[in-house]
Amino acid sequence: MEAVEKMPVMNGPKKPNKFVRTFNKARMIQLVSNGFCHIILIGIIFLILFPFIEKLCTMFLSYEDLADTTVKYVPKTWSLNTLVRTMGIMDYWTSLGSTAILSTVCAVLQTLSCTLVAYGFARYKFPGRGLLFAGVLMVLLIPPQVIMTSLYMNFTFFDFFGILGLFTKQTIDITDGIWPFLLLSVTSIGFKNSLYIYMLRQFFRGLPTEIEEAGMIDGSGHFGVFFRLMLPNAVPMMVTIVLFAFSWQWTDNYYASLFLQRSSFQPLSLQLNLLQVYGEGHLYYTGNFRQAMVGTGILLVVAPLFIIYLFGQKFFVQGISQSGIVG
Amino acid sequence: MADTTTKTALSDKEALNHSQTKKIRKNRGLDLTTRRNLMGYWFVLPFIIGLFFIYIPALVEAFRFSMSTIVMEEGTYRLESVGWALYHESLFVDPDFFRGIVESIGSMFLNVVIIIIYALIMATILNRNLAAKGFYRAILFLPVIVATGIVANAENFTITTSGVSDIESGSAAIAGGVFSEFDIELLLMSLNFNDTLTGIVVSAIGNLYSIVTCSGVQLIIFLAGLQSISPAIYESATVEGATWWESFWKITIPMISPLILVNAVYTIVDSFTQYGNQVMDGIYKLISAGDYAIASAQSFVYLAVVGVFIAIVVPIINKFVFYENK
Repeated sequence: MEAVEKMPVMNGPKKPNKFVRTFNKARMIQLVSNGFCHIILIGIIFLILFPFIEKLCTMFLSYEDLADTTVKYVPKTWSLNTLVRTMGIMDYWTSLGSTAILSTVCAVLQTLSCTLVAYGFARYKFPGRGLLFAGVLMVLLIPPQVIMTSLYMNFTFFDFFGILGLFTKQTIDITDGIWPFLLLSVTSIGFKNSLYIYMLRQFFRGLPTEIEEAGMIDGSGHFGVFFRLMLPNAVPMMVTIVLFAFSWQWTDNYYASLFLQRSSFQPLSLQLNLLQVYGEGHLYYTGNFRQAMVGTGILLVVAPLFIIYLFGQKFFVQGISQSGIVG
Repeated sequence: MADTTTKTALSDKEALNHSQTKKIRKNRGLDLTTRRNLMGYWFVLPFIIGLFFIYIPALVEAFRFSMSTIVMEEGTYRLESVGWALYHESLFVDPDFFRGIVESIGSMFLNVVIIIIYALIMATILNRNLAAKGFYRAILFLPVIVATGIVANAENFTITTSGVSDIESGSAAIAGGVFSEFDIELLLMSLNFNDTLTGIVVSAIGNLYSIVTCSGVQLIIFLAGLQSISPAIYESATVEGATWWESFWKITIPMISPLILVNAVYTIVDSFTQYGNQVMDGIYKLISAGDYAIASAQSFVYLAVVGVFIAIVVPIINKFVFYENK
């Protein structure tokens, strides 16, 4: 193996004479190994995209095509029957609106609170910091299902942390709306929030302290330094976190089914749940048709995320590579 | 972190020389560093509230549930203590629970190993200077965004229903539709591989789709780690005559070994809590049936098992981790 030739390709900058034809042995080895990598990657990409392509094809099959075993992927007659029906059952546009509101609000609140908390952990050595950070790790490691029941009970018989109990014995049931989501987001113990705190803390630890000192000398307070100097630096990282929070909230089923089950505010994840049992035992809704509907439902849920990912992808990948978890 | 300490110590010294320091000292009776550090509480306040007013009470409450029967009353609920009975019941009476735990540990152990190896290989490949590598990265991270939560759940639904209703058309599982596991099993058998190894490889291939979709975050972490290794190290190794293979084992692996630990813990937690996990499904079912108390007991047993598992695995991996600063 001509390692001397090969190494710079691994990690060094691109060779300037990439397209000059020098067919020596090392070049051949590199070409072959690159080709091999391409084959593996294409295979895996196919594996990832195949379910979506399959569902997209199935979506356009007409009802008769779905019953016809000779038809697969390519429809005999194109039809939007499945799509229209699925959108009707899922009440798509309303749910899309609800999900968008819920995800946006949660993502923004979670990012803000996590950034604040992470900055505190990264830059201030207050007493009990280690213990509190152990708390963050504890929230990260304990499966949320453990506190699922008691959390639900807490919000069903909610008394504002005992404040309300001072005045009256009555408690409020706030599980029928987005209040639990807001509370959990603001206090940064929502869905996967510990992970965000951890990532942002690593990021803030990497920023030079000189920025902070300069701000202090120029007369900023602690929060002034944070909002005027640290936040602008952290924007790419925060966009990454917003993307994470937004898309995980978008597909989240755990908190949604916990708090919004009986609410009129139905996000897409609950509608998709509903779709899976819709038409069970009904003659018109055959196995194939129901399966096609669930497939279409998945596509409908994922489609907006797809579009957002298309635009935010750069932030998503770079934000983590540049500043993230490593350190 | 060491950096911050020296910096604050420095600014402290500078401040002491300053004439204003006396004033500040009089104000609070605390020196500047302590006063500065106490500001940290304001930043961490949201989490403090969340932890002490929502999370820990919920955790304690969940533990109390697991020790009692819950009696619903108008506007509130009452707990009647039954001691460790529910734990006893779930561990020794319930036929599915204990078996489920053992099985999920077994499958998880295999998953962790396979996912870490896969993520490491893919990260190494993605770190090469390939054409269209941005495109490859974008697609490989796509599952992190779209194949989570309810989507993964519904995906399971389509696979299982198609397995039942659609056997003759042969699209039982996604990977199964692409190629057949049996071919590979036969190939390995004919190569005289031993049975356990064949079983592991075949099950890995069967789970290929779930491995690919579950390893997005791990892949990102490894890729970030690979990019943070200075190319100078590789260069000097090459000058000394190391081959690619040698520098992979002697440089790459030690340098990213802390991340192997991070990824292992992440994968363990993830696979313990993901959809389709036998024990979690059981707990879900209990909750939707209204058996909150026994569901709590089971989740605490499960939590203890996960904790013990992590406590065993982490020190073992930690032994092989290379820390630069040590």
